[in-house]
Amino acid sequence: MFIDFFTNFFFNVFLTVQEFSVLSFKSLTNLFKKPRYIKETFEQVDIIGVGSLTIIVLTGFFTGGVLALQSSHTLKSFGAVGLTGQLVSLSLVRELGPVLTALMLSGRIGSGIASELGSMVVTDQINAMKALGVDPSKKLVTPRVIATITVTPLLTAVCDFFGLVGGWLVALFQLKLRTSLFWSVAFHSLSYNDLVGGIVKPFFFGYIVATVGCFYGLSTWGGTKGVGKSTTRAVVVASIFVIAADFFLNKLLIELIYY
Amino acid sequence: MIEVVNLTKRYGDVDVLKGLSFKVRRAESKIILGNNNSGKSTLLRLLMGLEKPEYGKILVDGKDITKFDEDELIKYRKNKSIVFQEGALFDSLTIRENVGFKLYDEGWDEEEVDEIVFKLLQFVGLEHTIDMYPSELSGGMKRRVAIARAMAGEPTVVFYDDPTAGLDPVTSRTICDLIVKLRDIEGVTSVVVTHDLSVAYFISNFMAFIGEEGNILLRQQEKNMCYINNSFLVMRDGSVLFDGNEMLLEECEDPFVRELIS
Repeated sequence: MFIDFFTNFFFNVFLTVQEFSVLSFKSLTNLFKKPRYIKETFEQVDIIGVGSLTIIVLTGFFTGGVLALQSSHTLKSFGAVGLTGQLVSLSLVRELGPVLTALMLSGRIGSGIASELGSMVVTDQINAMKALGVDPSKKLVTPRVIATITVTPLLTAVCDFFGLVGGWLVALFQLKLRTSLFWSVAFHSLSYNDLVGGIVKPFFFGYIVATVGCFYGLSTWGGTKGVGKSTTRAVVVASIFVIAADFFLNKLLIELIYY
Repeated sequence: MIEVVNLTKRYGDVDVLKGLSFKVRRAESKIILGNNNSGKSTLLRLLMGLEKPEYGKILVDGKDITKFDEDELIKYRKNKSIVFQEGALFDSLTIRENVGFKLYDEGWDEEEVDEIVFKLLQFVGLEHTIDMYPSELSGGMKRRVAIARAMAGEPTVVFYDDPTAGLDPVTSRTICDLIVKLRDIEGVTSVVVTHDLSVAYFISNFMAFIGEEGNILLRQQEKNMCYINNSFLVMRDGSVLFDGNEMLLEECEDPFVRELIS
């Protein structure tokens, strides 16, 4: 009984990993096979990119503001309030910008993809698509994956910028720092490596968010309740994967570009 | 020709299909009858290559489709169609985009697709719905649009999964007319799963022909004529109880079959 439970558990985990790997791999290799769904990809860029702008702007803005507020207290004890811009820009560009953008996207895009594809599964639309001779992994998965990979770095840049704006406003009105001081410290503290690291990570995060959303959407079963479960799983798994991937990518980037 | 040999499908510990074997000839209507949970819809999905069986073969023109990979199945499905029980229309697309889905995907010229879509919708009597969305249509209309979509790309085989379930008699009759027209005018092979005996007998007993004015007409066949392009398959709990024409069905002495057709 006990052994059976563990055998089934590990078998299911192995099967899930295998299916996820196949789907993730196919989502990219489909690019080299016809037909290519360029119109659908642009539509997804619009839905994912433009549609997520507001939440990304707000997330970045308030995170930057909070960073400036919190760090100023610590910096004040060292008499280094002037370095607030440096702390805000480094934290945002290296770490918080990419991770927060990816987490917001996993909430908005990962869940959206999972529920959309899940609904199509439970209403037989995916089977209907297959029956019409169309490969859903080409028509639905690849456009979403490519669109998310493309827009995530751009949204991260937007998040970073509005984070700096938030930090600057706090520095200006709350900490009474000069604008020129904040921005010059913020820019000069950033190195080329910081920018590369901050832009490379979002490509991987975008890939994770889209593939996890598509995988859980297409694995939906059990009617509308199943759609709800898939959506929740997609958000939870994508968020955990993003944070775990962030650790390993940081380790890799430190090895590759900082030393 | 479709030949099913010893087909077995299992979900968990339950055998949904237990060693099914039968044949469907070209341009024939195979009418599948049976109780609920007898595996009829699963059989259609297997025939369409949407699921894989545990054992057995599905030979289509001599090739075993159970051995096909996904790319081969996509090609196999190009000239096959299925009408799902609920229609399974793409709810975010218009009726035009639904019916022309396959053609748009194959890269046909937009004007050409428009023309074909209009003709197909005219065939099912729904040309006025071309710019509507599926949510604006009734259940019967959705089913007819699904038939129009299934006809796009001129399939040689169409599988119907309970196409008249829950519909009023008039709409059911319209859908039966369409199935008969496709079989007799277009030469389409059809496998029809149904619970409705009147639907089964209608498809079996009526034939379509082109009248003197070029319009499509239907008339009841002579009794011996209806044995040529129709056959019945009765399923119970994943097994075949009966396979043969209408005359043999009426003479069948199996108690379940007798109860089903009475």
